[in-house]
Amino acid sequence: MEMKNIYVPEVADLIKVEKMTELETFFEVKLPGGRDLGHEPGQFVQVSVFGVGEAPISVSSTPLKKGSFEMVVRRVGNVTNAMHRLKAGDKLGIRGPFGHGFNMDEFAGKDILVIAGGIGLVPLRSLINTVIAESERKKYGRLIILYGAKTKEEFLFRDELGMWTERDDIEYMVTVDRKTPGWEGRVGVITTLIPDVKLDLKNTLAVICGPPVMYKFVILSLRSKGLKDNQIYVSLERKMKCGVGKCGHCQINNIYVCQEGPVFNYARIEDLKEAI
Amino acid sequence: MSKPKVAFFDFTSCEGCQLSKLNLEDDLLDILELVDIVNFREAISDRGEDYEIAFIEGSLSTPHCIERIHKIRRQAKILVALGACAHIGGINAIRNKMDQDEVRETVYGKDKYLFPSIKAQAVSDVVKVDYYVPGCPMDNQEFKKVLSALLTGKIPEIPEYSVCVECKAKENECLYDYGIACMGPITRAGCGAACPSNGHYCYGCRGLVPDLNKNAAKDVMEKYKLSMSQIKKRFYMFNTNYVNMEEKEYE
Amino acid sequence: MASKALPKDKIPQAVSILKKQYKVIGATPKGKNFVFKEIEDPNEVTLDYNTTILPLKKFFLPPREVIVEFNLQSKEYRGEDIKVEPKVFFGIHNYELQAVFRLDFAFKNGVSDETYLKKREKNVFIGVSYIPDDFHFSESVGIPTDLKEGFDIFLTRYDSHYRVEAMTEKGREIENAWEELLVPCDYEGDPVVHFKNKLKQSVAGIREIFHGAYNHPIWKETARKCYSCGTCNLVCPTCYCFDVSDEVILGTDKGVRARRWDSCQALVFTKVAGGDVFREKRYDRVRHRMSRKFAYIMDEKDRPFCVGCGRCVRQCTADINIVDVMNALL
Repeated sequence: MEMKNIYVPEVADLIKVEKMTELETFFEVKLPGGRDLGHEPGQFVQVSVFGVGEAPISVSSTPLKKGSFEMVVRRVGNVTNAMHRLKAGDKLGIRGPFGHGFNMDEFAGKDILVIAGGIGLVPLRSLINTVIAESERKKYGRLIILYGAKTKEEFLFRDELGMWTERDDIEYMVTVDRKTPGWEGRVGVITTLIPDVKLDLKNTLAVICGPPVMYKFVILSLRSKGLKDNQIYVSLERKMKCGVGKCGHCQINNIYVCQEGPVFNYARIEDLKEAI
Repeated sequence: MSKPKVAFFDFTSCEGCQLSKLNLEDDLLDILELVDIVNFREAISDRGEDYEIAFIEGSLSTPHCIERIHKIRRQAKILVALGACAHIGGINAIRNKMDQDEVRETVYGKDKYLFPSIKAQAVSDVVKVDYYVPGCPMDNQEFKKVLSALLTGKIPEIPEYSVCVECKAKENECLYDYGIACMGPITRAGCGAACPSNGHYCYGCRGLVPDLNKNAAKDVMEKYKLSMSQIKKRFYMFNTNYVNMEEKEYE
Repeated sequence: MASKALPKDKIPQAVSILKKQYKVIGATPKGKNFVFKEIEDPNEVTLDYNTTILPLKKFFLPPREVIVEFNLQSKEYRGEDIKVEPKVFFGIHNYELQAVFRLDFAFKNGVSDETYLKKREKNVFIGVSYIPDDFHFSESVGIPTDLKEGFDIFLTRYDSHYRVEAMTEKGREIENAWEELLVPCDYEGDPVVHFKNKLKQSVAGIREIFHGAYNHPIWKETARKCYSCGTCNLVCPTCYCFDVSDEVILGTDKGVRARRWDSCQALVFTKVAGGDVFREKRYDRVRHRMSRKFAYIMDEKDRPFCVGCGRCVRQCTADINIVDVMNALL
């Protein structure tokens, strides 16, 4: 039987590159023949830059978008810095999608509370855009988005944030850690938004993604509001090399984030000491 | 595209690292095609002051060194420390544990006041260092890797694990099997375990691992019959500035 | 059928016969240690050794191995062609083969890793019995010295002879090829052996003990002695974590993506590009390694990923003994 080398990336085309903030850039990728990636919101791909290496990157577009997919990448390491030098028309390597994202069937009929800190918004945008799509919106209840960034200069997807503010089927609240000139809105860490949110406790699912330090406090805050652990989903970041459950780097206690995650129901991982 | 301008500067050192670059021979020609060397005392007579990448060799051990390194830092977009002296202070720093006045007297005799000197410091103790090529001497292959990373816009990465990782991968016999205490377990890898592979214990020239367990290392060496003064010598040979063997500290 | 024995002095001839058809890999002395290597001179192989420095994993998951090749000009990624030659692994201890089976499970489980699995094709294993030294503790992890699972032939040592037991078709072919070297065997049964290094209780149930042991003082005690050199990972026959990096060949458009054995004991192991480290404390890393062996990963038969070879104990310069650590928990 012919086996496939699971480490060989597929070469794809970058069709759009757009600087979003000082550190983050938007990328749109077309797979050969315009084939769909076939991901679920919250999943990630391994992106290869020729001659530089490979890094795990969240998919930021909804699976409803056909013909291409999107990512937003902060330049922090070798691969992400190299990605920032790429232009539309350049090639890159893609493996995946990997792991488990959000199972949208579980969200049907539910109110959804999205809590995103910084670039944590990137994978959650995939879920948000799935929920607010015209054909889908009726499947879900309320959509409440809480977004926190260090400063207003670090806001991602600004056009979309504006649209969320305007739409009356989205309850959108935003805060910054630090006020910079021109900011009139709220100042404070993201947990300061939570007390103001009224939830139908029986029918709400919360999803969280942000920097590692954020989870503990947001979860405490949600619990004190009365949400149960199994109503909370988290998307976790870990070092990943292979994406296929072999290399060992993403392991949290006995589970591989690249296989079972990066999206987890919190009840599944709350006993894992290394998780949050 | 214009070639990046590169300069090499030597401070307090044996200049072995600079010479070791000249030993790259065949590769040197490839490198010369990719960069313009504007300042390299060991190899060329030009003294260009217009450069983007500065390679620094040697530790900073006089007030003049401090002045010079600030000037270089102001000019260079990228500053790379080459070899143990620039990286961690190296051999020169052994004297930091001694009485500085006595040291000057031993070296310069009655003229000691004519030669002001300060404790030998790593370049990063004084200015921001972007990248490192560790080792005594620096490893040519690693230098090449770092240079080619810089030229292709990559961040040059050096290992953060111990020499044992490379030594075991080569299936060397452990020197401890022969009762020889070795710095390999606590020394940053990247040399391919050069010394242990040739039957000599690791001197620790590439600096200590990022999360040193000093007491564990000391206990092991004691078990292998090294006296405390011998253990200190092992640590201080290259790593004086980074470890204090006079105090006990458990993590 | 009466069993046959291979006289000790006929070993080189037995190897010569194998070499006609196979690459032969066996243990040879290196200084005061032993290593597995491809046998060139049939006289260099030994069946009388405690353990090799590195386990058999180096043949299937080499310390550094190219997994993908690429070309910067043509913008291509492609898999490395893996050539498989028939190999005989001659004189292998049973825990060693058990470890290979654990690795097989790891590389087959979920997604199949062809780069590893290809190299596991066309392997023939000839086992040999051994006398445990101060470090072996295989019996405690469910691998008594008479376990012969998976071998094509097993050689049991008696004084000057080895009893030959062919267990597979391949094994019988080899036994036939050795026909002229063999003598009738007077020995029956397996010699009784004793392990000095032992767990206080059998391996069943250890996994449960780990659940309550997360904050046990032994982790910190062990971490005080440990300087995270990574030797225990590198020499472990069931450690398979790897790092991956791209290397461009200077002055060309070609390059490779290679994987290299990694160590979960190094601080950098869990460090993400943004700088966060997820097992920052040394005792977290010590606990992680041992948990991985006994609780986190189990094969399809629920067997642990420690085979009791004792390498991590034998080669730890800080004298950390995984058996003592486990016994503190039991």
